[in-house]
Amino acid sequence: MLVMIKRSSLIALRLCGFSMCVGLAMAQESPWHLGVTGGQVPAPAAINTVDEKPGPHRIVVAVIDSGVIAGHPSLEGQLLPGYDMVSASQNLRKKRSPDSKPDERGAKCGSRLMADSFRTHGTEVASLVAGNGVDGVFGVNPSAKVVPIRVFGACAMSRKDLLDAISWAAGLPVPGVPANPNPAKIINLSMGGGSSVCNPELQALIDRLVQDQRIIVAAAGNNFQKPLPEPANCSGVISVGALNAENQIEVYSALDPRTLVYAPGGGAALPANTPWAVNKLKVATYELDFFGRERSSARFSGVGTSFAAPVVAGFISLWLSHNPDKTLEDFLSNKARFVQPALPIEKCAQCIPLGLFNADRMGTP
Amino acid sequence: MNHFCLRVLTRAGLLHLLMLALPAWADMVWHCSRAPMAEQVAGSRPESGELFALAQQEGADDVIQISVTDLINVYSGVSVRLSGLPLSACFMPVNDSTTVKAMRDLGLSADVSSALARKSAIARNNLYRITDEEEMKACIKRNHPAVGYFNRAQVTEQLAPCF
Repeated sequence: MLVMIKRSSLIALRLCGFSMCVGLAMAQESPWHLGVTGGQVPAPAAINTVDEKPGPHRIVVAVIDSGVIAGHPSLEGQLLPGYDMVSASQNLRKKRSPDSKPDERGAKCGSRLMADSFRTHGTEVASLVAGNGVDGVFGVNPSAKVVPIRVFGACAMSRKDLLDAISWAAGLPVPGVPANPNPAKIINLSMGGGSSVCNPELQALIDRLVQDQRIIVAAAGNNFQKPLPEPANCSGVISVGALNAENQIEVYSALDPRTLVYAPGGGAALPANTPWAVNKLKVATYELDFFGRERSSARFSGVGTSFAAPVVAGFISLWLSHNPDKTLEDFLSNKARFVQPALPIEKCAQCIPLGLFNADRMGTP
Repeated sequence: MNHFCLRVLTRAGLLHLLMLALPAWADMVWHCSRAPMAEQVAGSRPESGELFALAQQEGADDVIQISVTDLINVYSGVSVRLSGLPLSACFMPVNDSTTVKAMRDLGLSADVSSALARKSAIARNNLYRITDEEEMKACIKRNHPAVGYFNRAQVTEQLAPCF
């Protein structure tokens, strides 16, 4: 149970499940990427949603990723039933199932080695969309609900699983898988790869979903200034590059004129003595304690276009919570309300980087 | 032709194609170690062009899977683990132009780079200082899982570009 008076306000009272643990935690300020209240100076790249209250409509966001660890306090009450869409041949659990938690820490698939950071990737992404504010992990839209769909584990991730996951997220039938009871309006894809040209099957699916008024957000990829990979290079996808807190494109972000919008994605700490110098996104994650046990935590550790994308997905869900019938076309035609110029980059003369920014009240039609 | 020979030929062909596809020169390219071929398991794996990763990297399927955060951490001296193993980082002298570019891309200060250059710090943090690109190759191979950088893309049995 969480009682929160205001996002950046005083006290959050947390009761820990059935235990007698009652924590009286000092509430945290909203993280820098959302902006600040009370006349303080915001980070140049902040998206200015800190004072934007969600509208009356509950928006479902699918997070297609490495799975989500459901017990995190900052995601309590924010998750809907998900699915593990990793095919049996690539799945250490040997089958698809409704259990969308990630592979265990230290998991290995044959000789393929995976960093621990991938285990918590989906949890961190979900928290940037809809974190409930516990321990200062505020999603852009705490009223959104997340459907976690796992496509990435210790083994390789395939295109077929991705196609099935996107279909299921949107409520389309997938053979052998029960229907998704909570089809998503927004689908977040913090992943990249595939081909330099959008695959026809993937493009056809995206076209169908856009027609069905779904909005698909994809990370531009962390390929150090190369062109967009799939799925960000597909038409009808909101491709998201990463900015640092000072409104500059991060060096690891893909660099491509087709990138639709940039958002705070974090990076190396900035030298400036400012409240945002940490330049990382605050996420719900897990880490090992002194005894080697995995514990939930809240940290400024998010770095990558993977983390910029859910900021955009959360932002659009916040807008849709006021205006649930709006579409991708509406977002694009009203883009001036949702962006501000980011600093240009010499290496890409054709790029006109636009940073996500809430320039108007979202409740305004 | 047995299955093993087929895999060797397929892989050699893939390497050749990758080499042709890579730019002849780039200013700095991150490289990661690949699983030793003898350890690779047979089975269905997606073909190149069908592989996806969590917006963290691109590369061959058998390249170690690390994130940008892992890259920053390991060159900052913070421990990073992959499937239970410590990640190693190889780097050339701090006055090398490729090193300067690499550290700048990670946002690491000259102070950090200097600290990395101290032998004691290197030993504690799975950081290995080497002197040239040949040693870089050897370092990445010897310390799998490991990461390093070159001034142009290279693909061998032991390493490949990974971002």
